[in-house]
Amino acid sequence: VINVVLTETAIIAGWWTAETGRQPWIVWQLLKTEDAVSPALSTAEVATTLAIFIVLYTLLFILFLYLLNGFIQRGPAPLEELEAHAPESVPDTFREIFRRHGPRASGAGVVEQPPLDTSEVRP
Amino acid sequence: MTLNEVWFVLFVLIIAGYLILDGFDMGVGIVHLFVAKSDRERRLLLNSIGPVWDGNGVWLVLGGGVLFAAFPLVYASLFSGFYIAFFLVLLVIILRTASIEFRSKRPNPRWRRTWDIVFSLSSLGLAFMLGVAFGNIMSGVALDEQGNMDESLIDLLSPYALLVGVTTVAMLALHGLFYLTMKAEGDLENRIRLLVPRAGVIFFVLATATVLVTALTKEEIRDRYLDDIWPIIFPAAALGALIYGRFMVLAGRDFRAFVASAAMIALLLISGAVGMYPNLLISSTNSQYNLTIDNAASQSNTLTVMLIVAIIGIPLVLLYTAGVYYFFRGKTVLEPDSY
Repeated sequence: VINVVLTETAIIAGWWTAETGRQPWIVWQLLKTEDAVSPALSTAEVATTLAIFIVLYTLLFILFLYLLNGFIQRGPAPLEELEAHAPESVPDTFREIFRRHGPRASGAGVVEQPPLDTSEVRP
Repeated sequence: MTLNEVWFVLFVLIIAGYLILDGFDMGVGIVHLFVAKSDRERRLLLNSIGPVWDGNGVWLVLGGGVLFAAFPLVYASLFSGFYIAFFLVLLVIILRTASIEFRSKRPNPRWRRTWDIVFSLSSLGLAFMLGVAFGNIMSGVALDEQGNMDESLIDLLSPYALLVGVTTVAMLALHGLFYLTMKAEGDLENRIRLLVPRAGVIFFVLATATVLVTALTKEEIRDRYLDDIWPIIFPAAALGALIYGRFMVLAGRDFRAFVASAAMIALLLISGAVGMYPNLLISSTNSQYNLTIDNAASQSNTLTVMLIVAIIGIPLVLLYTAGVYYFFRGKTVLEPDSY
């Protein structure tokens, strides 16, 4: 579980290094960051929008964790169910893939979502 | 044709591609709450756009990228001047994405209804704000000598811009209904078929009003059409496409009807672009400050390199996009891993 956080940290640290290492230039040796600031904007506008983005992303992240936890708690579907929906063989060619997914090719009609509609597992 | 003209045409076509592709999935979102009554019908609507909606949205990113690289001065003026407006656009795009992804991941009816409402309102809001943005670009904005824009959010909500916004909502709702005639079945399909002519009439009235108001009040655009009368074929062809689409959908030729609707959207955008040409952003304070395809463009080497990339890249994109649509052709089927 910790490795998930570490990979994210590595990505962001790389980005951080590139962005701060380039200062005070925004375009290396050509344009300074202070000269590239948009004159049409106020600090308050930028700060407000940044704050709203942070709040929104935090909310979405919490919802994401809630859903993810639900899926983990539920675990994968039983083997029999997976086998019932498994394709008979793995297609080798594009022609086969397209044919298989053609209109009504499977003839299966409507398949309801079995794990979600029948049982709810509370985290 | 100069390089700058080529890039102007390409930019307009990319935005047309965005409006046609993301337009129908926005349209599906706008009609989501009215058309689909049961949970199954709502899932069908979501899954009709399921494989393609996020790819469609990338055309807007492409449009922004082209503007940045080909006409950086317009990009700078527009994105700084419309900062708060574009922030709101991003907000609804984020909420819309989350609603599509989250909605069916919980069986709780309240959870699903909440995200259905978010999906529908964010689709409506996105279509409306895009229309308002087009309305403002058509009327011109307060650009100064440096190309800085002085417009507050309230300034952007002029009656004309609001009219274009509402027209855009009606246009994309109609476009989404045309799309759904190909994707829905049974009772749901019948209800959609009943709605198409009504949505068509509403859109026709609004579009006619928009064209008339543009012709009467937007002098730059009117003069452009009066100087050079042949571009009148673009709005005329758009009207023709709408009428053709109406007859095709009544005849059950749904794919042709959808193509007609797509052509109409492109033709209307081209009509607007022709009226603007060679301006990209009109200054309402002084016409000397207008940003045009010549004074706002990148150097010709930049445009040349970009053109080479575009000539290689765009056919590939069109090819795989067509492949995806072919792959998922026909009526939408719900599967265990659907939305």
